[in-house]
Amino acid sequence: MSIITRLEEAILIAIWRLKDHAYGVTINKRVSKSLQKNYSLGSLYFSLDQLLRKGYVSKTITQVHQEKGGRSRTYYRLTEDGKKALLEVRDYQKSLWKGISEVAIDLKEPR
Amino acid sequence: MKGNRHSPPSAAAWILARIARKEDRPSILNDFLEIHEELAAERGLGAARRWYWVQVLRSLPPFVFNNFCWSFIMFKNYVKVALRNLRRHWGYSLINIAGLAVGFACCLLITLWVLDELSFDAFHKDVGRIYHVLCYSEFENPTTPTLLGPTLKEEFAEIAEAVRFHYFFGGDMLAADDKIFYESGIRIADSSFFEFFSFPFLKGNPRTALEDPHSIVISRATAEKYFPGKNPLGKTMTLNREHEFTVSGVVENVPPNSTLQFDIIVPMAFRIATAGAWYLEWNSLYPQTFVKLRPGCRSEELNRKIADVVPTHGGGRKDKISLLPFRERRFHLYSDIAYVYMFSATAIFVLAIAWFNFINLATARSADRAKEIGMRKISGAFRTHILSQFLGESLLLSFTAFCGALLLAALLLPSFNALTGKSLSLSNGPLIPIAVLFALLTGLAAGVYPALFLSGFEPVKVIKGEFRAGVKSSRLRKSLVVVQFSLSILLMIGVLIVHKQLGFARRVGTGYDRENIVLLSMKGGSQTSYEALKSELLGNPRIIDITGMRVPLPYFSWRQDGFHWEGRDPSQPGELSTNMVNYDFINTFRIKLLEGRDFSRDYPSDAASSCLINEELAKLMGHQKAEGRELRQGDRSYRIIGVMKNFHYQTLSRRIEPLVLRLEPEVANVVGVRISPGSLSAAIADIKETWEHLIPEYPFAFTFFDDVLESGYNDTERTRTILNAFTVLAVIISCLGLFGLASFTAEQRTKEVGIRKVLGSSVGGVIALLTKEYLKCIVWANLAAWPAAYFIMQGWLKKFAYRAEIGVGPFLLSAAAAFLIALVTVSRQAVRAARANPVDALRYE
Repeated sequence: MSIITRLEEAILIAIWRLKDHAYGVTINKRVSKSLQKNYSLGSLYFSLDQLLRKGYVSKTITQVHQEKGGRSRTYYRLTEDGKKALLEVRDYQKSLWKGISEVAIDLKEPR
Repeated sequence: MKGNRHSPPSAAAWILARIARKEDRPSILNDFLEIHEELAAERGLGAARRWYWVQVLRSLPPFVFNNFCWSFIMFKNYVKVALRNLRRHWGYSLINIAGLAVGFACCLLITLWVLDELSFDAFHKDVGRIYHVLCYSEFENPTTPTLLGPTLKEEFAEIAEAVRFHYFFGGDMLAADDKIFYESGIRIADSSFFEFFSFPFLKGNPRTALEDPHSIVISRATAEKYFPGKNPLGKTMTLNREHEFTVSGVVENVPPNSTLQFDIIVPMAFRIATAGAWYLEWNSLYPQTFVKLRPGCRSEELNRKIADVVPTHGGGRKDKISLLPFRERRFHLYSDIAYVYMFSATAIFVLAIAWFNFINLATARSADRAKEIGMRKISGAFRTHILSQFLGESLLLSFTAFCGALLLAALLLPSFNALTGKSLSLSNGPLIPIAVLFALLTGLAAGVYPALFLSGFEPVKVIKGEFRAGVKSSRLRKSLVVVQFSLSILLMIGVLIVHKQLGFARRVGTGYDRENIVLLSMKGGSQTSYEALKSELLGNPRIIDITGMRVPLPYFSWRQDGFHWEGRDPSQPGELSTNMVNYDFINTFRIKLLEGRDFSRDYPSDAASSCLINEELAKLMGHQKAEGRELRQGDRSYRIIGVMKNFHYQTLSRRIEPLVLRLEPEVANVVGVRISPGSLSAAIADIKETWEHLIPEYPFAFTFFDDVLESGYNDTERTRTILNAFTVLAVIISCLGLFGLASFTAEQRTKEVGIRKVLGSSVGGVIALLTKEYLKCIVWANLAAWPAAYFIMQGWLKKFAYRAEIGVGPFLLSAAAAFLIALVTVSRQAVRAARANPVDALRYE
């Protein structure tokens, strides 16, 4: 069972979804949107480094020639381990919720 | 995006570039830039810039933390690798660390010593304006005529204050309440003494304490000795049973780093009142005189103005006077700045030797590390990473050594203090910060060459095995060995020559028999009992001879001017060393007479008009025979009745100068008793009994003449011992390095040795092969050290009155020692390598 933080989970999902377009700016936007909180780029890089160290993402530094005047950009991709970790987290959450019906969730207060 | 209009704030961008990790820096900057541009387009440049600043500042903590995280992981790896290496090659590591630690410890101790030497007299307020007045005639004198001080103050506006300081004869008897002690620390000083100098006053008023001629100021230790637990102020003390004083002040014990030392001070006014008119005459030198200049006065100008003050006041002395800055007293009068230089040089040498060991072993071991460095480079390490890794490693070693050195220095400090006669402590002022800085610098300096050397490896070559580490740098290693050994040889030659010189001074001999003599001091009224004491003691078979002196051997420092003899060239000195002695001086000290006879009761005229001179004066007077000639001083004339063979009437390093001895039958300030050998303690018991029978009111105290002599050259003796110890250490550290290097080479050449042996080389041949290159180094080291040693020691010897020849002895001896030591160090490894079975070396080929 891999333990990752909510932010890391959001980052991993963002990278998964962004596929080949996952780099600092896009990831930040998506994560900030989904968690409804403005993250600083610095803390994002920090989490990305942590994920890198755990082996959940890999990165490639590329020169983007046509767009934006030939800047370099670090693209992130999900590794197999990363995917596995995400699925594990999803399964874990499912197991936590098991047995609670949709109706029950609609109730204002659990009794 | 070109141009400044759209660009983000440059300061923020600069900060961001600093904190971002190098490999990600461009992409991170670009990410920031992209959002910045978007925002600028949407909400204007101001908002975008604000956002940029906020982002950068908010990102600072995670960035810094991240950097730290990564570097910590690398750091952990570096430390792990460093420790593994240390453990794997513990022999080399031990040599490295131990060598450095010993070097550091030496340095620490010597630095302490040097700091202490340089701190002498620094504690006085306005010390820069205080000068010691020296008199120059044929000789330099630290003392002056008594009236010089007040005269200078009166006649020269530049001089704000003048103070005189004079020794009592020593061994005076001081009594208070029921306690009586002999005191050797009684001094005489002007009443402004405690205002002039900054000795901290504990009780009483420093301005007025010495104003009354019958006041006395004592040190804290003296106060505790005479008046334990009582307030000494106002108490009465009696000097030599004659003079009563009232304690008017207590001063803190004089610190050891003061050239002015005293326990008790009595006023100059008392001395002038009790001494005869002779004390105020301008023809003799009595007290030391110190002056304080007004602020802004230059001593050079004043020096010219005051030079001729002494002759203008009559008395016949022609001395020039000049001002010696007070802080130079230590090295001018008591010690020698040459020792400070010698010690500093030794410290630097020892450290340099340890430092070269470090460099040598680090580069020699590079072969072991080459693969590691290759791997690191392939895995993406930059040169700077490798550099910092190796610098860090050497810093680690250096600080380990430093901790060892602190421990070692703390352990050695008590014996070092005993050796130097100082009371040094490691917590002395700026020492520790300086030492830490030193360790840091040594670590960096020692690490920088190996680091540059190792980080420059080409990874491809290393991994492919083409690279043969250690070959390129072997020339450097050998030159460092040469430097190490030339420094060691330099030290050895230096020590041998110092030994030779000091031993020479001893061998030349004192000119008298120093064994079996006991000195007693007779104070005040007790001198009247001298004759009775003498006749009673001479009846004792254990007592051979007895005599009295005004100033005791070996401190005949009294000079008188105005001597004249027939045929004297006016350019010849008229100032002669002189002293008053009692009958039997020659016999008691067993001084040889070259001509004539000793003073004798058979010639009543001896007491008034006879004198003994030494060989030196006879030489100065010319002619073949000095006996019977006249020596005049002013209107008095003395007949020379005998010529004494030269003897050292002062300490051994002083030149023997012309000396006149006159007879004074009552004089017995210090009594010398020759005892028959082998019955020392019995004889002393006898003397004590006789003394207590004759003069029970004076306590009996004695010193061995031998001890007095020893204390005279204790300082040089001490210096010699210290120098010895450090030289031995330097040699040991060099040997450690050579040992490490030799065993390393032997290891590296195992296969070569194996092949040579398979091809028929003999064990002897292999040993010769392995030792030859180091012996060659020693030859070079000798060639470098000899001329340097010769010139340095030539310079040192110049200031001795009696100089030993340098000769070839010290050079050959230290060369032989160096060869022998190197051979022993290297050959052990060589023999082991040579005797190994070649099969073991070659079976994996």
